[in-house]
Amino acid sequence: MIGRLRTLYVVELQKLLARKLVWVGALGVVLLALAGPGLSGLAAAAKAAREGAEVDAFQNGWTVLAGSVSRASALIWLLAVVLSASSVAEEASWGTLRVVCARPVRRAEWVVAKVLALWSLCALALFAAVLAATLSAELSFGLYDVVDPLFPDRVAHTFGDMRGFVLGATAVSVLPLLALIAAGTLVSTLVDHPGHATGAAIGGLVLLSAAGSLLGSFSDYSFVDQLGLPFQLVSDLANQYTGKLREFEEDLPRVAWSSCLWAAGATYLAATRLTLRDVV
Amino acid sequence: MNSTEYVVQAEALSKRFGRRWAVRELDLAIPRGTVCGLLGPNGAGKSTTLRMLLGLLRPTAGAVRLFGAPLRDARLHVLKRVGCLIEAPAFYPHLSARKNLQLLGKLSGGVDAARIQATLERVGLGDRGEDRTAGYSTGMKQRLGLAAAILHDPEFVLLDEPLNGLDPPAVLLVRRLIRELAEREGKTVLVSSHMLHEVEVSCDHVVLMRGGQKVLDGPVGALLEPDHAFLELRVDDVAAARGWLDAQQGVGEVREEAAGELLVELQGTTPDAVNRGLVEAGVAVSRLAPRRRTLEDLFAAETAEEGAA
Repeated sequence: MIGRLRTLYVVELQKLLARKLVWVGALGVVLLALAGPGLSGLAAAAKAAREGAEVDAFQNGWTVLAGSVSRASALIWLLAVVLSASSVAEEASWGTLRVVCARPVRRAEWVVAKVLALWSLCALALFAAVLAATLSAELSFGLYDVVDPLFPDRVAHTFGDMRGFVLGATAVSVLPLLALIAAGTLVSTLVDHPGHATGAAIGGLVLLSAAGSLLGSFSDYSFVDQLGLPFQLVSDLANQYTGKLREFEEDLPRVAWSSCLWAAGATYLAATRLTLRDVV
Repeated sequence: MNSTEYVVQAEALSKRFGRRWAVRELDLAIPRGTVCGLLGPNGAGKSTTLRMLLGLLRPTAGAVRLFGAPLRDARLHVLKRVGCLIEAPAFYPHLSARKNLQLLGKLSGGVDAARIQATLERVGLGDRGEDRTAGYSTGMKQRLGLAAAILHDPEFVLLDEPLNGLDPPAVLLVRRLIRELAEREGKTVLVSSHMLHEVEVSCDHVVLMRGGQKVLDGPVGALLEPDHAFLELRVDDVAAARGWLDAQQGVGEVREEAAGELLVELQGTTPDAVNRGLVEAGVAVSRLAPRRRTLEDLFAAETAEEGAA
């Protein structure tokens, strides 16, 4: 099974890498991450103008890094939704669904390979975004210990702590991303038109997000609401908001296991659906 | 029935879509090493049958055995030995023909670059392998579909309308390819086609379907045997000629193919006896040409029965 899965994974990876959208998207992610300091300044100015207040001058390398990764992540999520929701639907519309299903391929393994291949690329894009944002933050503000601006001798978080938070947030962020891709792939097995599937996937995410807003406890376990949470917490820690260290330590494990459950459930349903359906 | 002699065995195979039966109680046995033609009008159930043979559709009832093994249990194992072109050939449009074949080859257990090039050359696309398939014409896609079907050297090749969109040279190429696969390489080929003449010249065995059921099944030679010969006649008085022919014991169906031209099915009588009889009946015969029974005749007869029913 591992050998078959590896072959399918390589095939799916090659198919994805041959698409322009993937490369343009990756370039966009890196550019967004690199442009972090400038965009952070613009965002702060826009917020100040909207609220009629002065520009919040507090920025350090870590806030810039977290903000840059968050912005770049939004593009990764968009790419993940578009590519996962069209993954099987596109095969159906091209007719390659029946070409592949008539080969010695276990359909459930094909779904798993599709999810893993897209997840690998999205995770790579996230790592690239973190690296680009780190470079950009280092060049603009520098990455040092986080200190209280009023009491410069008081170190809130050391450089090593902050580096650990960023690494932890990066590691955990890939899990809601996996759930997002699995959910998109599930929609793709239900709708044979790529455009309709993408629309349905976005609609589904909006519904999940709305459910999270209405039911507070659901939000704690919804991968949609967890997508940006790890780097939001990094930003809050860099801003020295109180109580955020405890949230970081408590929330991240919950994000990790609940995202894994979402991913496993959606992948199982997608694999079952593709296995049981007639391919016409 | 010895299962090793047959590549395909289907027993009481049925498929229902909603309330409509697309295929009903179909028994099929395709002997190893033969080229079998699957014929039938639109909606006869040919494509549904082919899809069930590949496991793309789940039968409502009945079972399929490929190489003697139940398809349901041994799908992964037996499909390694099967190549297919189902309906319109489909490829990843953003990839080149060669890349498409590489990926499909991987899914079938791995195919080396030399084999891919040789297969492309075999279907006349040797110098177009680097082109993206999005830019391929219908005929080129059809050729590439054939290449994908035979790429991994399968023992059983299943082709659904392989001549669609092909120009005459390509039709000849495909005809030759099908014969080579069976005669030189010992493969079993199942061809579904509307082109009756192509099936007649390419196939050893024919299965005719209508309304989801098999209506005829047998070796082409036996179905078109000489005692079912035809006679083309041009006469001056069609009504008188029909009157005389209809009264004869050794004459089967009589069809008017054009003004003054009749196609007469001979069932025991001979062309010279028909000629002599018509002349004695006062009918002038200006042309008389014996014609072997063709699949078209068989098909027309079956369709006529359908119309009569």
